[in-house]
Amino acid sequence: MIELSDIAFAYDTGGFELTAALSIAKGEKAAVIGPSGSGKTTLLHLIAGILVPARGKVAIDGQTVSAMNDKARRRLRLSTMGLVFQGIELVDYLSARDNVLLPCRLNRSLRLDRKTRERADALLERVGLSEAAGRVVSGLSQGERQRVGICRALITKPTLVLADEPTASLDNDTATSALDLLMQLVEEHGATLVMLTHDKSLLPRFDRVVHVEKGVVS
Amino acid sequence: MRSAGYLAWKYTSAHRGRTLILIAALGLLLLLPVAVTLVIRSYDARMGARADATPVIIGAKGNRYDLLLQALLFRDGRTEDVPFGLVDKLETDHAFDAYAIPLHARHTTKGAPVVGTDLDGYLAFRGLSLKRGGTPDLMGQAVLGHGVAQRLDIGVGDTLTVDRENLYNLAHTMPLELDVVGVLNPANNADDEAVFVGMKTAWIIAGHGHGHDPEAHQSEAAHAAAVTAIRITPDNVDTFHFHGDEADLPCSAVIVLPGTDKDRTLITARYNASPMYQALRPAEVMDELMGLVLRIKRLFDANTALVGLAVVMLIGLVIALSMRLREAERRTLHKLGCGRWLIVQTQLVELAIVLAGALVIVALGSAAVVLASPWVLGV
Repeated sequence: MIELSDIAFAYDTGGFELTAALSIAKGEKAAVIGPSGSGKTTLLHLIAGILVPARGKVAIDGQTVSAMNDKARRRLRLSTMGLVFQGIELVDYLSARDNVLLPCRLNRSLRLDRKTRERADALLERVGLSEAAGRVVSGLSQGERQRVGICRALITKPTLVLADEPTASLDNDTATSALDLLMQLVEEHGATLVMLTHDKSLLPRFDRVVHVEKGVVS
Repeated sequence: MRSAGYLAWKYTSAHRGRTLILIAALGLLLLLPVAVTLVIRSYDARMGARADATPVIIGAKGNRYDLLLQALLFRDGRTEDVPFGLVDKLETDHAFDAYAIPLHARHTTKGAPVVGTDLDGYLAFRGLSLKRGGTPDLMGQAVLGHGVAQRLDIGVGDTLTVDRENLYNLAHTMPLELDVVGVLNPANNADDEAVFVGMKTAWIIAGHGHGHDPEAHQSEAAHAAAVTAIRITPDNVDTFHFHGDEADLPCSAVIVLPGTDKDRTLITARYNASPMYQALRPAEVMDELMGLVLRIKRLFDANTALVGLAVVMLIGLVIALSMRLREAERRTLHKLGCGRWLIVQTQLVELAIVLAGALVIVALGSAAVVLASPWVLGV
């Protein structure tokens, strides 16, 4: 369960403030919508522990993320979360397969065995990238890169998937199949999904919708 | 560390060209001073050993370094000749006990010095032994150093023509064709690269003696046009002769083996006082020469240090630019859950890979320098 209570956050550069009070149940699929610059990504980064609120509490499954130090927050991210970033953010010199396997390499508690590699290949196959698995991602298209990003978020079977507009750079067909995959895997593992999107046509597929407007979460 | 190693390896593999340029730049920079030090050490060791083993050298007054290089390495420098009679004079002087070995190293054959000497005396003095064949018993015969024989791929029974001094001087003596009668065992010094002949053969090469070919009388013009080298055979050897007194014929230097240290002191004192001669203790001159070389090396080292500093600064700049370019990657890894230390570790491992590559270049280059230095230096 995700619990954000009495959150206040402002960037050092100023000009933007986010206030939030939000609760998302375990296994729930929540869509976060709002105009650009409203604070959606900031909200996602607060949940992930990438950003720390100036005030208030962020808790995931009873663990107060906002009270943890950087190391503990990073560990929590690696062990329980799968992240899909808005800017895709892959490691350019790694192959698609190696990017997918990256969280397993970074997390010492995870084993990078044959089964994990097979799982990476299976994920890539499900998003239509089996032939590109060995290719360096700098040579892939935006859509292909985003699909690799989705596979990377799911490789560790996370209990919480945080996705920042994962279908924004995909064509309709690929976006649908990528979202299908995301939804399917989230359901398979009973994971919680928080996904930012602009696409209102996707909202019926979510259990609930969170609105963010001018830094206010409702 | 495992993750850092993995990322670093992947990064350097993906940027092979850039990495190889860095490795090459650093490797060559490190190799240069190491190679110079190794060459100087090798030169010092080999020349030092040869100089230590040579008690006294006597030659004409002049540059003592030239005389040293002439007598030890057979380099034909600007030294004047001394008369062959000096050998007899040294050996018969009642003031001291000495054995003298004449040297005449003024000519070359296929780039190798042709060294005229008292062959039995020289081979015994240097501890040289024959690998194949024997020593000359006729003028015009030669014994090859091991290196020359290998380099020219010739052996006993083959011939070698002495290099012409001046191709356009038709009046000059024709070059002598040498019969190879022996090849020496390797000595790992300048003797390996020399062609040894008797003193009389050396004098004939230098034009101080000549023969009369009976066939030449029949048609001198035709003969001169057809014959490109003189050859001494059992049939014509008796016609070869020297005009004037043998004692006046030239040597480029004389190696002197005094009976005792006292004899050595007497010989050097006497001949250094002479207006015509100088007597060297090779080990002392070698030390002077190495002192000069080391002073030059210190200048070279200072220059290398400056160039090194510039290269290190450039490499630092490359790393700093690379870090800026990889800021997005650093942020991504951090968002995924990676510590800052891993990023630093990754870059350190990348640097270690570059350094390891550079050290491989240094190791291989140093091995090549060590192997090639005797050949390059001719010592």
